[in-house]
Amino acid sequence: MLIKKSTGEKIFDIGNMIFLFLVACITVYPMLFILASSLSDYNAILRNEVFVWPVGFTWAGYADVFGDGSIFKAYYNTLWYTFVGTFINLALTLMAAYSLSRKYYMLRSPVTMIIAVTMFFSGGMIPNFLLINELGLYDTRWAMVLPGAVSVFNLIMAREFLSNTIPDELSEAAKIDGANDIHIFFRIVLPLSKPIIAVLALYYGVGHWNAFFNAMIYLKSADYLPLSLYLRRLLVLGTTNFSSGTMMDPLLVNDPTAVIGITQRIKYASIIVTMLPVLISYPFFQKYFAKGVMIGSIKA
Amino acid sequence: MVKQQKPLSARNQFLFRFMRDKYLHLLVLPAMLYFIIFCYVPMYGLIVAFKDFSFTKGILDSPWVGMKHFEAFFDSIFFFRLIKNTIILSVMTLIFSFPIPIIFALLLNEVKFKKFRNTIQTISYFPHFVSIVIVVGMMHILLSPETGLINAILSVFNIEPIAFMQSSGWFRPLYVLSNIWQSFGWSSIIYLAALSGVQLELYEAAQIDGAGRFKQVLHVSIPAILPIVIILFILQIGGLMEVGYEKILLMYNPGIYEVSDVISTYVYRKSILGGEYSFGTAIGFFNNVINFILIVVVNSISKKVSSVSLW
Repeated sequence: MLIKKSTGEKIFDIGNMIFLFLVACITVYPMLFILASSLSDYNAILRNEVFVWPVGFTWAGYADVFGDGSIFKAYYNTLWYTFVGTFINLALTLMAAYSLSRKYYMLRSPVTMIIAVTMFFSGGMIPNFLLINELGLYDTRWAMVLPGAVSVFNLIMAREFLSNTIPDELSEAAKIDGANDIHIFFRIVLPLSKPIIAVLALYYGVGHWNAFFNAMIYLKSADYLPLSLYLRRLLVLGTTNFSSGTMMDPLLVNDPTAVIGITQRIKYASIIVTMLPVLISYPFFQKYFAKGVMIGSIKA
Repeated sequence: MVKQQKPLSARNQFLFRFMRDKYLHLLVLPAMLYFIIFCYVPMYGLIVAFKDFSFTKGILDSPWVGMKHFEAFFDSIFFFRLIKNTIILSVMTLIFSFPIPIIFALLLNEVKFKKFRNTIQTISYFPHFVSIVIVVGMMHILLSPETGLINAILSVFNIEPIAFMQSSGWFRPLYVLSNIWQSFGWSSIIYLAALSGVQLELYEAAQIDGAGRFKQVLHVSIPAILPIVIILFILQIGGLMEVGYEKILLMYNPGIYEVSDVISTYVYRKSILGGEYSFGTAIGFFNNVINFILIVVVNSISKKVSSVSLW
């Protein structure tokens, strides 16, 4: 620093940091509360004694969630949609991004144009719904992974990344050595694209993990329902009947207050169980969060 | 010996380039098929808006009815209410949700301790990854009049329990507040990225010219993010008729349709639940056209005033 800080500036700096710290606290507090409550005694939950730390620590809430078992099917479905969906997303996006990143590619501008138009016009909810029906995808797993297979925003981001990382000269030199574009894609582009693959996988993957509306309108069979709809039934509609663990305890069955408390704890535990993969992978992925936005904003 | 190469005719040149790029076509083909089938075919499907669609007849054989569905929507008693609710929610989001990430980024940029800054930033992103079902689920839990934490706190101050999620007065504030909670950190990334690109010399030069901290923010930091602010503002205005209907579907109930029912939720109830596909398509079409006009108009205004444009 060239100039010494004045007292006013020091006060501002300290005040600013305290303020931002409070903002961060408010941001995490709801999650902290849910976590603490999910590990607490149901009586403590009913008496509103839980704030930051579990009161009367117990795993019973989780035992109830897993004991009922209906969450496993939903968990499996969501995992399936996330993995298969993200794989399709990555394959289509990266392949197209490589072609469109070659400046000499003859169809570069017409194809880019066709894709860009879809950002401003769309058929909307009902024509999409009718299409899914016409294609015979209604109430199949594919209805969860094919619509939205490529996001224009992500495609542009990947294209920008590839045109910076793999210049035209590199792919042309490889061609002189006898490689064709397919070889180049698998042997040069993919190995050099790890950062962008991580960013794309994160964006697409979280989208699939949280997908809710498409599941609601395209799926009917209980066999295919993802976690988001399981949680909607439990948290929003409140229509789930649990028949496990603490709920079946003969001492508690006829105690309506206890049932409210236990149901409450099941809700907390279900939220944590659903968020677990996101919570666990969060520290691992967090270094990539900003990267994607940076790559995407080179254009802007 | 160098052979004189004959110039290729236009047609041959096209064929030559087409064959040269054949594998590039192959790589772009799956994505193109996706866009044609899942984006362009539904655009063609908009003709359903001018027909009386039924599943038995299919899209092509359903009879044409002209503007019937559009007229029915314009004459509907819900028309005004839907437009009003949509715009109020959008404008509230614009007024409250839009500036907060900017302010947050500017404040965070003033913090000189890198560790502290990164920690706060990482925490602020987190709600972005929480699914909308969980966000609304937490609201139901925390705001419940019988067992909710918020009402328990209010009761300490002798305030009667409030049924927040059933109250039409609370719907809009809750919609906007939860929106701020979920998006402020994530939306601030782009501003922070722009701010981190500002050269330190600019701040030092401003200091030498006698600018204090506030003036430095005003004359260095804010101009650095202004183009991005304008572009995002254009996009927001372009989406004025578009609100987070997924969240509304989870939040609302018939008791508060008066303030919470928006165009997309109405289309969902009428068509997906009620089977009136042509009517819903017409409303969606109308909504799309307004969106498009809005974005073109705002963009051209921005081009004139600030020379920032989307295209």
